[in-house]
Amino acid sequence: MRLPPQPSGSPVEPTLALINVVFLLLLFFVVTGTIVYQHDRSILPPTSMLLNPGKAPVDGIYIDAEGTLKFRGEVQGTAGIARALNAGAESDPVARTVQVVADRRLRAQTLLAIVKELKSHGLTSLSIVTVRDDRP
Amino acid sequence: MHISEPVRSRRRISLTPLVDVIFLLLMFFMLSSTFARFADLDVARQSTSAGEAALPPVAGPTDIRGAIVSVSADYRVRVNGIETALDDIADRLDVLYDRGARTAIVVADVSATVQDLVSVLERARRSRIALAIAQ
Repeated sequence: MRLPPQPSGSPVEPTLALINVVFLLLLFFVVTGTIVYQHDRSILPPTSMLLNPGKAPVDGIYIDAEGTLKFRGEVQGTAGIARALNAGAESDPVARTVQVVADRRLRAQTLLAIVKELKSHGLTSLSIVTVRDDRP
Repeated sequence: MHISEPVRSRRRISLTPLVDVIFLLLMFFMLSSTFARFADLDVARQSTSAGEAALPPVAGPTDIRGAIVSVSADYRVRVNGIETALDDIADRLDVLYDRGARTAIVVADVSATVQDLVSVLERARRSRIALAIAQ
């Protein structure tokens, strides 16, 4: 009796399936995630429930719980921040809203005083960044 | 002259470097992305909207000119002096709107934090009344 010959060659590894899955994961993270840009981890933005979702802060002004202003990674005063932002606005005439990332434990009066100073330096469009909290 | 045929390699393309690169990209995006959902609350625009020239004429009795929302720590809110629960702010302001008030001034006292202010503002925005933040 003659046995049929064994199929030669190594068994095909499921490499393609592996790549497919990893590639799908990659696509998922690229599409859903937002790359954090100079986010100061010590600053916790206030939570909100009713606001419409917006964009992650880009080139924002960071204010920690003690009221220290940070802009582009450096401690700065309101005048310096306004100068830097206004210099960029001249090349880009589209007025854009400047995002303020303030710590939730900061005193509201301190924040409002800083906002007032920023406005007096010509930054008229300001918004406070909040993190949406969907818990019921 | 005899030219030999080029040797055709039958090797399959190696997928290992491809997987390596894709895996590194995956790691990068996993570690650098955030899933916190952000929202913006306008502060500058609201505080300039207190212009009284643009107010529409009010029909009916106008016994109230405006509203003052004062914010203290731990979400304690008073609307025109009356202690109001956080979730009732918009309703309370709408009642005042119906009675003639067109502008509500939000005042944060010394004890209020940014969280208190934001929570009050996002609820008061639901009312028809125009908001102004005292600075």
